[in-house]
Amino acid sequence: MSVPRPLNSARTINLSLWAAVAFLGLVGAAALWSIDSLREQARASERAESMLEAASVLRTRMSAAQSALLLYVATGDEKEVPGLNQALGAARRGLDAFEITLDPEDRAASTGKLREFFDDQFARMEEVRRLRGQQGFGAALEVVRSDAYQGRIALREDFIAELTHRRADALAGVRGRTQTLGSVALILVVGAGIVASAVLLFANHLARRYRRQRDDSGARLRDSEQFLRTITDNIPAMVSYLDHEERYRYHNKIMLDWMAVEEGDVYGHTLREVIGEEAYAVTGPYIKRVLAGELVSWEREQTGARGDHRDLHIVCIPDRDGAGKVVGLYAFLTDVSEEKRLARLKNEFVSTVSHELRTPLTSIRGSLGLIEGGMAGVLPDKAKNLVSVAKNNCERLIRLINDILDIEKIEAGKIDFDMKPLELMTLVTQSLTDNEGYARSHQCSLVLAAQVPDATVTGDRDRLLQVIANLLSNAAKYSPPGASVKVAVERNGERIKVSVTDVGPGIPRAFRGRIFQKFSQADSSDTRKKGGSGLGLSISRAIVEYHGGTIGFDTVTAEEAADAVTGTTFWFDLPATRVYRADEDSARRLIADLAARHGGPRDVRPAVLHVEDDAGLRSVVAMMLEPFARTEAATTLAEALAKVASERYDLVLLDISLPDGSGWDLFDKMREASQHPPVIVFSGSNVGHERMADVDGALLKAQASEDQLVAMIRQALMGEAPESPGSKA
Amino acid sequence: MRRELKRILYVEDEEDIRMVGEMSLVDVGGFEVGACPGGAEALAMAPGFAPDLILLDVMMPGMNGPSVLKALRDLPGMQDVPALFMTAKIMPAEIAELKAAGALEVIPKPFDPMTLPDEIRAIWARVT
Repeated sequence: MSVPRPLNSARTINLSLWAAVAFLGLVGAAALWSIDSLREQARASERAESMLEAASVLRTRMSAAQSALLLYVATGDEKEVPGLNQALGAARRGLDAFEITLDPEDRAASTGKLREFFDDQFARMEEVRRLRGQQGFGAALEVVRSDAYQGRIALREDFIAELTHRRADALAGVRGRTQTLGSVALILVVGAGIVASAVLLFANHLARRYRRQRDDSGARLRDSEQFLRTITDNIPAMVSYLDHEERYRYHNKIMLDWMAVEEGDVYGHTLREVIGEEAYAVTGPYIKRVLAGELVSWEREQTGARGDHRDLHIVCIPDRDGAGKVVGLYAFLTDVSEEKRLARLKNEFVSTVSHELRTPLTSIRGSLGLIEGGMAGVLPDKAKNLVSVAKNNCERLIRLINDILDIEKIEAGKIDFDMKPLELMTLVTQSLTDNEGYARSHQCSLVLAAQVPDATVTGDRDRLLQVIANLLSNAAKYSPPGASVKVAVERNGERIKVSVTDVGPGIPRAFRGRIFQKFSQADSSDTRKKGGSGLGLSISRAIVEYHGGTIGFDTVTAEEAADAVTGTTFWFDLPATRVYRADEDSARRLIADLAARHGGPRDVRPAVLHVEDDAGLRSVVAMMLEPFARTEAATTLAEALAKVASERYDLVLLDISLPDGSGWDLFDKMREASQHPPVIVFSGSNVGHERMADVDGALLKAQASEDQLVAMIRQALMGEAPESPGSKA
Repeated sequence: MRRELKRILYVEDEEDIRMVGEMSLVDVGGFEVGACPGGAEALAMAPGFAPDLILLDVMMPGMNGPSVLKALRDLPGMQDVPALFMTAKIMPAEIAELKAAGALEVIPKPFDPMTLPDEIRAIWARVT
């Protein structure tokens, strides 16, 4: 199908129409000018005609007067005199009338001349009449027949003729110009007609094309809508959209099937109406969180109206308008019953197998230990070696089982990480001590090459020790005898990096891509040779990533080494936790600073904003903090936003699930406004590890003790040292 | 004066493990051990044996470790006898649960029979 070239239709059509309007304006001006000229010509013609008529009347009357004079001259009869006088009077009036018809220019040309001429004529005629009366016919006739008299008459005729000719010429000139103008106007009008028609045709063509394109895109839109609906109706997941009042505005077909409801029972109805009170009691709080702007996912079991059971995985995404306000939510529900069943089976299997394996292994390991320890009598050296081999391999099997259980649990999210502020150096030195024996057994030593004294991270002590131990044991395993493994701790901006470097053979290029995969070792014979499960790095990566960190390595093999120095550095980095390190002095300094800032001897305890909608918890926290901090409470997001906008706080203790929104909105608003007081999240649900690095601490309402909360707040406010890994109870 | 640790009541349903454990405690550690295959036997033996310390397996058929301990505590003279669990379940949450059930410490399985007595003595030294 050929698609018309897309055009900037409205603009093109507008341009065409404007061009047409401009052209028509031009033509209109020309036409007006032509009409004006024609009217002028008409006036000129009219004037010329009345002049010619007046000239003709004057000529006739002059002739009549001449005839009456000649009659009187011939007869000498006094009775002819009144007729003569009357003819002369008429001629004089004819002259006046003729004079009026003259154009200003003609009048200018003949000023005086015309009147003088005719006055002379009339005077001569009076003279002839007098001579006839006094001297008789002969004298009068002599004058009449004189050349002067006759010449004057001829001159008079010429004079009138000249004036009438001039007028006729002028009239012809005007007619000629008007004709030319008329032709030009005609050409313009015809041209304008053609151009305007062309422009209108073109505009019409564009408009039709525009309409066609619009119709096409409308059809395509309908097609694509139908297509999308077909897709959403056929994917094996429930898709719906709820507006901010929790009313269904969209749902796909599968929802009707899964929930055993009719089409009319869903659209426009509220979630509560559709899923029922009991299910809503569970789902409602999640929906409130989504409408407060949080992306939330959870799982729930559902028994349909037909008694069919389903495990549903639900993901809800807030829908925001241009201003960022949440106006609804998209919900995606997938049936994970089969995955759940398989996961349950697998977990049961793993748990059973590992327990069943451990039980005999405990006996075997124990028996071998006792034999090796001489409890069954003194063994010959060969037997002792064999027992040692059996015991070592038994231990390896136990480690393998532990690793498998670990990775299963991490992957299933079943490990509860006990996140606390930790001094990383203490952790690293402890790990060095713990693994010294292992390194010695591989004839190498562990060296701390670089340290950061005040490096604090938030993490699970045992799990981080596990990561470092894994990297140290790998390095020791692959180090040549007599070599040392270097451990370095460095600060890299807001992150702390721990690296473990060996001078082993390096990691073969082909293996680098899958080094963090499960059950991977550089070559399969390595597993036996080096005695690992091939799960250590995979577990380490999962742990580091849970902490918001990254793990990686740099390696040089013999083929790549220019200076024959091979080796590998494994490293991981973690977000540094801000610590207000201090002692009594700095606490006093803080109080003094605050006193100076508030400008007086008022309450100078640090100000804590506690954002929490539960009144009971608010008062408990206020009491707990009373000895060292002043607590202000905000019960809603709106109240908290107003408070942070108007006042400075030294710490914010933040609940996430608030009646009118999410605590994270407050956090983000504060950061946008460049307000950076320490923020501790004290909430009913876990802080995702991706946000863990943003805040200064997080505690779970149900799990944290009063002491923990107070300690965390004191640490953030006054920089009291965090719990050191060694002092764990 | 510090009391010496002499008698240990040891409850373990797996016969092989019980044998290894007993050997470790008796031959390596020099303790006097009352070894029982289950809760019922332990409850029967405890009053006469008068142990200084109780060492319990967790997962056992019938009564599990915490239930045995609970039942033992109801016997005269057994209220304050320190108790230890031995288990293959070593998740922090599970350890916390066992401690809440009254255990002083949790010893992970598999254990090293050559060092187990020392480990128990160290715990004993800490609590007495």
